[in-house]
Amino acid sequence: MGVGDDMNKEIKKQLILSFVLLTFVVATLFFWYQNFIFHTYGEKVDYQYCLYAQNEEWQIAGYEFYQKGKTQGYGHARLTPLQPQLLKKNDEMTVTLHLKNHQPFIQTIKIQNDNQVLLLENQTGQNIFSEKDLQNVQLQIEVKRQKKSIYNQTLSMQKQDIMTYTSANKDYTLTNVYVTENWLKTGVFSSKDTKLAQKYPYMIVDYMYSTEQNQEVDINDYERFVYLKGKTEDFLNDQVEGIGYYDGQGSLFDMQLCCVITLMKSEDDLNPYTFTLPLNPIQKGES
Amino acid sequence: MKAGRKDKMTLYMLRNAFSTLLIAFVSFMISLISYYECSFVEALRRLFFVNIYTTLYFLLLWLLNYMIFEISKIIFDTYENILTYKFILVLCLVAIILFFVPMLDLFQWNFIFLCLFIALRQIKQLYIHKKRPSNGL
Repeated sequence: MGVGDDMNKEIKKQLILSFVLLTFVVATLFFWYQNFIFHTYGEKVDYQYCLYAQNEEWQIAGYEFYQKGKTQGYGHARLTPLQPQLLKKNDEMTVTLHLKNHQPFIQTIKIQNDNQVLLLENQTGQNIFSEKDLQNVQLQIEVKRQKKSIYNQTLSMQKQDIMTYTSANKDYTLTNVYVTENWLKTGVFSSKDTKLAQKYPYMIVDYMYSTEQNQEVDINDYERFVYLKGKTEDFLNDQVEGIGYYDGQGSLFDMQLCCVITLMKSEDDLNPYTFTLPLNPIQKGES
Repeated sequence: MKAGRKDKMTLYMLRNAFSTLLIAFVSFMISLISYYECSFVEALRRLFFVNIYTTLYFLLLWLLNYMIFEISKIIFDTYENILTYKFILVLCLVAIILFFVPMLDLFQWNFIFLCLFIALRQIKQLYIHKKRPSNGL
């Protein structure tokens, strides 16, 4: 007896129907594959920490430690003097960070203006930092005026909670935006369109915040926070990065954040393509 | 159809749906955890709360698993007398080959688990319910 004879008509019908449906499902999975990969397996960051300290004389915001692929770095902090006459032109300031299990990091800065707000440079190196290394971090600030030490204090740095924000629409994503209560590190912009850099060679990314709690996003309620302008190719290759420091009342966690993307055909394009990506927290970062 | 048999069929269908869902879920979890080197909870968030595309793809993969499983049941039950243990051997062989095929680890794990699950079901059919007439459950 042939095998085909065993199969009655009912089973044959079931099988044919199942195979037709299976073909639909496989075709959908196949055509959605690129979209799925684009939205699911984004760029990853291995760790991101942010430290903060304040005493009566200084506020140190956004001292970061990060690993991104094979690059490790630290620094990028903003030092704000809170007392007048703390810094004068031509003073020499030495900032030393004391960490567990690591050599101290020393940066020397020549003061250009009275009461200058300082931005520490981003340093890259081979050092990899773990959470244990960042316990009991001390920052020593020494100011020398005419080779005489006039200020020498050590501040205890606190690790801040970090939230990772992300945003996506059908064609564009913005991932790995790191936010603390008063600091924001810009994220990675990517597009499904492989020819985006040819179509729009330049772009602007504005990070905005709003204290309004409305569900409806009205761009007029937002304040610009970080402004980045550059070549689209550099944005897509994650070579454009910015840091924003928030000095207002309240925490950034309680605010609505969004990003306005402006794609331009030339550097002074009068009719650029602009759209908004609302940022939403997805997880607590390595903190 | 008798009520008891109908209940049993619903139960079997639910079991199959749950098993195939578990296969898709575990595969997604392994893939996301190994890619992002993150915790289970974070992978769970990435699967369900980050974007709709990932979640929809997960549901589609589950549907695919369920359909493949149901089709395998029809084929096996129809050719039960001819295929017997050969079908199980082939499934195990496919699972081993899949392990070495360069493809997205999500699909690798998903189809390996699916092959093993189908093989397990056939073993059950052959040795535990040997006397039961073929009924497509």
